[in-house]
Amino acid sequence: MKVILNTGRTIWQGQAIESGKDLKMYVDAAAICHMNKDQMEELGVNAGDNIKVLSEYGDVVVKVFQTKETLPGEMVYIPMGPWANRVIRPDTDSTATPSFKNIPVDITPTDEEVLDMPTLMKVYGKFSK
Amino acid sequence: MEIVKNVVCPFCGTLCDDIICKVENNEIVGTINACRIGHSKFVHTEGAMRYKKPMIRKDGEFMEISYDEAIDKAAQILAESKRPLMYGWSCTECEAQAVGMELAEETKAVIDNTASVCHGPSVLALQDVGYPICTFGEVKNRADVVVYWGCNPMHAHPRHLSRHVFARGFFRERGRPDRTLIVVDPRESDTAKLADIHLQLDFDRDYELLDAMRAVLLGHEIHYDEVAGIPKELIYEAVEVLKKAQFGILFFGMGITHSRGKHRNIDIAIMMVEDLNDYGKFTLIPMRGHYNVTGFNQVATWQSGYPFCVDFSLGYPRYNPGETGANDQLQNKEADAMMVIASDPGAHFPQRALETMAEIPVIAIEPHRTPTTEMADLIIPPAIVGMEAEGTAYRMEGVPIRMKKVVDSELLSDREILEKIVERVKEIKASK
Repeated sequence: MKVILNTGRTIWQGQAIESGKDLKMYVDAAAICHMNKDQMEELGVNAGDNIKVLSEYGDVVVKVFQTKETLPGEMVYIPMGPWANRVIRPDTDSTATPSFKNIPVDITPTDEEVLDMPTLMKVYGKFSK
Repeated sequence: MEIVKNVVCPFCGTLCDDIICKVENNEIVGTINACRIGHSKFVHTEGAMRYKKPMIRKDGEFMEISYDEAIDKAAQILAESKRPLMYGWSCTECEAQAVGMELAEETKAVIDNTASVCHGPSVLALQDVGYPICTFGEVKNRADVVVYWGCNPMHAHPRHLSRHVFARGFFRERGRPDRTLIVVDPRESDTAKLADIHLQLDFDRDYELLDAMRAVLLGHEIHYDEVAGIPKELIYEAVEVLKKAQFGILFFGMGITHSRGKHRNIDIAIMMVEDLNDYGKFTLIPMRGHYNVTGFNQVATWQSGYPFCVDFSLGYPRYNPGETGANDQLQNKEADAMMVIASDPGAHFPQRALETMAEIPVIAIEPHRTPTTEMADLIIPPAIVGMEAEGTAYRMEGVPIRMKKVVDSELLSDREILEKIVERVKEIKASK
């Protein structure tokens, strides 16, 4: 399903980054995709199911979360963090600031697992272990 | 149990200064007045890793080393690299930031802070068109119209509304009923749910909406049924509220700085605020994120003339966001070493920047295990400012506040670590 990805703060993500980014709390707060109920029905997913988010710039697996802050019809929302940043538009448009919001993405249900923070960072291949 | 009062919270730019900390055995075990996020920073969470010793990566695994060895290694990396990048600075105090500027000059580095992934576009805009700002005290005591544009303080700055909208002020004795709250956001955010007027605009259409509002302000009519998804009647109504404000305030956040147009959106928002001063008093404050992101922009401006994205490679400061920003340096593969302090680019930079961080030596001056330390070759843990070390921070609207030390720590502060690195870099350079 083609949607627009918005990213940003949630209080749960804020609490998690200050509690510890190596905790499960961080995965639960930031490796999730807020969706409206009707979007979830259209995609055929329930809260807690995994979806793959694919953009021109990368892909990431996150869990579906039914939002309490209703989104415009075409929009989904992933809290800021290393999961969202796999797919956002990195270009700075000569302003020094990447484009963290309003990225066209394709979302599909998946059986692939959500990676925890240390495993996710290994995707960049700096350290093999 | 010891009670420490009037502690300043080292989380967001609201810099709440009324926190009460409960201390037992030199550890903060509880807080009063802090929000959910601030409390989480003050109180250690079971299971979270806190680094107590410097560490260096050997064959992919961390090994403990002494502070002296870590500082020597950091100085060697910075002195030997051709185009080092020093990034972060927003979760530490101004005195440490000032030493950081000296280190950048000494190593001919590019130095940049988290503004470049946050309110950098606002900084560019205020250089374009001006900065009609006021203090929180004026907002609380005077503001009768409060606008939150592209920000969701109920989540990002949790006590912001209670301190500035719901709070009673000298001329706003009833608090919330004496103020009109306008929220501009494409989502029905938890902040928008509290608004008197919610302008639920189409995403990436902030510029169009601001342009239409300015046109109405200047006496023109809107010739379309809606602009940016907002019916024209609602635009007229919102502009009427803004015009009638005795004292209005525009708070704005990432919803407008990160959307299409970036600094141009802020340009026109500031111009609208200037136009509104033909009717009443109107001001603005950017919703700064890290508690001392503003402080770095102040310190860098005093010392180099530029607020962020400062390049010392030629021996004198140069400023060219788009080339000398941290993301530009990484994404264009210019940086050949990186020192991260008081921030977490591993978590908050896009994939293309992290691909370069994976190819170059990374030094992290960082107390906790983060996505950045997962990519670091060297970790130097500091005492945490506002809890274990004191120093000055600038609130989001530019008011300096002294951060308290609540408990003791055996760790060096950010400033002490940086001073030692500067000293060692000078020795290495003198020996060549």
